[in-house]
Amino acid sequence: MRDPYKVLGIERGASEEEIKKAYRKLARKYHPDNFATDEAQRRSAEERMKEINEAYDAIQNAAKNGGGYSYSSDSDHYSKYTAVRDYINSGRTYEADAVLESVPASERNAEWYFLKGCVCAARGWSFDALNHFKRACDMDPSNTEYRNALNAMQNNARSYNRGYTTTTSNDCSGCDICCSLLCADSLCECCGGDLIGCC
Amino acid sequence: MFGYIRPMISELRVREHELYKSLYCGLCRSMGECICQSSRFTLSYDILFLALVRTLVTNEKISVRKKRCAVHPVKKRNCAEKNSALEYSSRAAAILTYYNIKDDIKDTRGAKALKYKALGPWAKRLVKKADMPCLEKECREKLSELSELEAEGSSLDRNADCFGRLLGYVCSYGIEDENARAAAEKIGFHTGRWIYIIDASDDFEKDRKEGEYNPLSSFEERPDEFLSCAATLELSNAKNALDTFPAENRAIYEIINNILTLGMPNTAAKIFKENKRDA
Repeated sequence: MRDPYKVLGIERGASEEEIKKAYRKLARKYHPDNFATDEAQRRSAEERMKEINEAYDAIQNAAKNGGGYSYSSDSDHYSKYTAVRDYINSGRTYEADAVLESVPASERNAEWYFLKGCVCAARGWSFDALNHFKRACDMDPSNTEYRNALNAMQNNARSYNRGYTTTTSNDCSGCDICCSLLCADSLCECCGGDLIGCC
Repeated sequence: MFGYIRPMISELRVREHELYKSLYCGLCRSMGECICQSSRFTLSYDILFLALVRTLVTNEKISVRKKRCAVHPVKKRNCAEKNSALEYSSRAAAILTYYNIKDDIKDTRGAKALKYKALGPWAKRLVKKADMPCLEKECREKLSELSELEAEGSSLDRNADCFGRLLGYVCSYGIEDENARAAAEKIGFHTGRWIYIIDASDDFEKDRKEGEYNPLSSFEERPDEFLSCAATLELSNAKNALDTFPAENRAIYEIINNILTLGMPNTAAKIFKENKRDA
């Protein structure tokens, strides 16, 4: 799960009132009924809504148990991955890669593979990027961000290949038309009728 | 790793095909003149691609004349006169051939290696005749970097990058105009990466059987879908570089465009289809 405070877009240590306000605002925005026309959008809104609800519950429960919401060691990763995203967005792939490489192999999750894929893609290493995106999708099949990244790369390649297609047998040439007409004519003649008068 | 870069002849205009053929003849002749007669046997379509790119970015004039040669003694053929692009390509070809043979000597064992070893002294002479110490030094460094990476078992993309930089350097060597140099370097870089990816895919089965090195050996089965996608994205980058350069010689542009958008995807499609049929 992501940092619930980030999901709601609020500061850590926000007051009860602020939390509720942020929750209501997001709930209004992502309510699936707003996206009734587009199936894909509606589904992604539903997912987002679920995430928002979970985040809200987590914060509320933590507040009831006294004190704020706190993570175990995971919080370190959240901030780390946010830094990586910032590096990637500003084009500093080497710094991003350095942070990623510092994560031990046992702690690499779907987001790690996704970000690694982004670093590779930014460097133009498409093959590695595709493999990392695939891995991220396999680890977290419900995540649309990872899936979109993979699909976008494959679509790019597909749009380039569309330039040339060999002629297929499905093509209907002038010859085919004449041939079919002649066949139809002989069939009609068998039954005593005639389709083409001259032959 | 030679012979992947060809145009799709059936889609070339007749005059473009004529020009392509005359450049082929011209390059062959120029290799004979600049290096030595025997070097003409090493002529390949890939080197011709180098000559095309150099001609395009330097806007070199091409004059075609009918000539007779030993290979085609009966009929005179159209042959492009030697220009600096053809001359440079001949010299670069000699150096690349040398390192190709050296690589073969290192990689093969047994009786086969003897064949390549016998070619050693001849190849060494090629480099001497090419007389381009700077280019040779760069090739040596890049290729030793590549073999280090391969020994390390680094990823396909990292290796491909190294090979791409080598070809980028070869394509852009000595070009003074900044735009032209950048365009040639980019086209060379992405073409190099494409060659590396395709070469690794092509040799996948063979290398597995013979137990030789292949950058994809960590995969159980060849990941055709991603390989062909990655290769296509390289071509798309190369084509972008070609299109952003204001090319004056439209015929040459069309030939390169044909190679990048039809010829090379065709080569790739064949390689990936072959595997499917075997399976």
